[in-house]
This record gives sequence, structure tokens and C-alpha cells, in this order.
Amino acid sequence: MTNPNDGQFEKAIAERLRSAFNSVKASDTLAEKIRRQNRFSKKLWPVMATAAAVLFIILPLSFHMALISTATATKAQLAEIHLNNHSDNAEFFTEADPVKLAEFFKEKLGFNPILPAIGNGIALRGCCVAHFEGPIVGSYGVETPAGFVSIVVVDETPSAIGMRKMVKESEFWKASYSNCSMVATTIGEYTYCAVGLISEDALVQMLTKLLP
Amino acid sequence: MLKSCKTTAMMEPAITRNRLSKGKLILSANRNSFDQIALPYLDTVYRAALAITSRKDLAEDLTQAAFLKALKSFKRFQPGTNCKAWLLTILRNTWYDQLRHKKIAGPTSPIDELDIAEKTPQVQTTWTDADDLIDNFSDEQIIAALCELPDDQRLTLYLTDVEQLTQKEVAEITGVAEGTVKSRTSRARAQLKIKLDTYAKQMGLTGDRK
Repeated sequence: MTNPNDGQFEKAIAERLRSAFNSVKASDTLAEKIRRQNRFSKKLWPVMATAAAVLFIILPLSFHMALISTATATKAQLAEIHLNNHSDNAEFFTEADPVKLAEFFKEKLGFNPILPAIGNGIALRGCCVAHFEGPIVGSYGVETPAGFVSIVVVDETPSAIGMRKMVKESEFWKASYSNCSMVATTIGEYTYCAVGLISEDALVQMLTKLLP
Repeated sequence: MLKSCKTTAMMEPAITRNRLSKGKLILSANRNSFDQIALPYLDTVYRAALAITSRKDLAEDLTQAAFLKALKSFKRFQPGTNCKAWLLTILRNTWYDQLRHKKIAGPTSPIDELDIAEKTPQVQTTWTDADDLIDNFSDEQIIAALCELPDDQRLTLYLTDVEQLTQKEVAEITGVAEGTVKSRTSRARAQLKIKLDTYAKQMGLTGDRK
């Protein structure tokens, strides 16, 4: 025989279970782990691991370039810089203060790359220097509403690093390597390459924030 | 070799081809569609994993494993269909795979080492003030009581009451008939009532009431 209060209990416990679980959230650490594993999927990781191993062992850069075409190599390097920025890289200077990032770049590179204004979903994550086509270049990480972006500042032209114009007359250039999208634009004497596992549109929006 | 950007009609959410006023054509790639479609359900999947495993560390591992499986099989996901149910099905299957691998009946550890009441004989309690009574329990006690239920009842009750899925949806996720979902839910609620009644007595909130 059904207890007339069973319905009341069922309703009450359902509501209480919902309210109890409502306070349960995935930790930021878990969210970040999942984003990372999503980004560096099985397809990308072996390629990135290979590129990282070649870049960071003591081998002539010309030996690395002999294995693949120049254009592909530059894009692989950009993607690899982005990978390292977003992983536990001991060389990455984790810092959100643009003043401190500027000091870092001044010391390492001798100049200050343009940094985006922070706020409205834009946050700096840190920076590092990396070898790109021989010389050292600076790169910094930016958290955007669309995802994590690496800005790599090089003194090569976009075409020289294997990029092609997004559309005729456009000031933006694009390329891709594996799952990484890349968009670049020249500001002053440097080319700013935005690299990320997000849409080209979002990368264009990021670079637009650097334009004078 | 450069990959060409493709415009792909995606339905959840829509990733479209846009033309800017200055005549620039920007093609939105769908590389991030998994993050856009599935990642918003992270908390949902984690909560279910916690209900399944009863432990935060196991729940995190299970959640991460489920999302990795989902990523690998994302090509088979039909945009516009129920992503939550799809992810929860993957979660449940991943859990079963782990159980088979470990060859155990199922985790029974309490959350945060909360002291859980021992099993007691069934006691008839009239929950005349169910709302007030249940409000006296902490979130941890409520969750712990749920996690004490047998595996099949626990997941079924969680999906039914917390996620408010239909019996049909729960049946599809758990791989059983709708009738089984109904009976499991009923048994789960009965078991939960007993456990909470024991807690209530321990807390001095109630004796046998009519």
C-alpha cells in the first residue's frame, strides 16, 4: 500500500539531491587537464613530441631543416612554441603583470613587444624566448574568451614563414599546422604570429587588439 | 602542406561563415567544436562521476577518461542531438570498462571520509515533514547517502532526480529497459529513505514518527 507521504518524500529528496549536487563543480585543475588533453590529442602529440625533441637536443638546426620543407618547419616551430607555452615548461615565465613581462623581454630580447590591454576576458599568462629559425624570438601567452593563444614575435615577414594572405588586400596572413591555427600581421618592424587551437577569426580578433 | 579552412554546418552551437563589412571573408573553422559543444557539460559529467565513484579523486579520473573517449568518438556525434546524454553514456561505459578492468563490484568509499551510518534494519518512518527533515542534512550527507546505494540504483536515481532525465533517457544511458529504470528508481528511493532515517535518528532529529 502506498504511503501517502511517499510522494512528498520523493519530491523533497529529488529537490534536495539537486541542491546538494548543485554545489559540486569540477575543479579548475580538472578543467585545465581536460582542455589540455583535448588540445593535444593523439594525432598532434607524436608530431609535437618529435618537433620538441629535435629543437631541444643539441643538433645543428640545418639537420632538422633537411628533414622537412622550410615552410612546414617554420609552422611546426610556431606550433611547438605554442605547445611549450601551454605545458609545464620550465622556461616559461609565468606572469600576468604586463610591466614584468616587458622587463623580461627587455632583458632577453632588447626590446618590448606590443602586449594587449588586459581585461574584458583578456589575461596575460606569461612569456618566454624560444629559437625560431635560428635567432631567439619572444612569445607570450594570452588567455582569451576563445581560448589560450600564443603570440610569437618574429622579424621575418609572414610570407617568409610560409603564410598566405587571408584575402587579397588583407593585413592578416594565415597558416595552419596539424590542429593549430595561425594568423600573423606585421606591426612596425616585427611580425606578430597568433597561434592557438581556436578559430582564425578569434586569432584575428586577438591581433587586432595589438594594432595601433 | 597547409590545411584548407572548411566551412562546416554545425548545429550546436552554430559555426557559420561570416562576411565582414569591409569585404573580408573569414571562415570559421570547426577545430574547437568539441570544446564548444561538449566542454560546457564538464560539471554535469563530473557530478555524475562523483555519484558513481563516491570519491573526488576517482571522479576526476573517470571524468577525464570519459572526455578523452568522447573526443576520440566525437566524429560519430550527431550535432543537434542530446550531447548531455551522449556524454553520460560514455561516462557510464567508461566506468563499466574500469570496473571490468579492475574486476571489482564497484566503489563504495564514502566522500571525504564522512562517517556513514551503518546498515540498520528497515524502520518505517512517516516523513510527514519531509522538506524540513531533509533540509537538516548537509550536502555531504545527502550525497554520501546516495553513494551508499548499490551501483545500479545510485546512477539511476542520480540521472532521474538530479539530472531530471526521462525514464527513456535514463534507460538509454544505463542500457536497460524503461521498466527496469522505474523499479530501480523506486528501490533507490526506498533505500535512501532508510539511510536518511538512520541519519536523522543519529542526529536526534526524529524517532519513530507518525
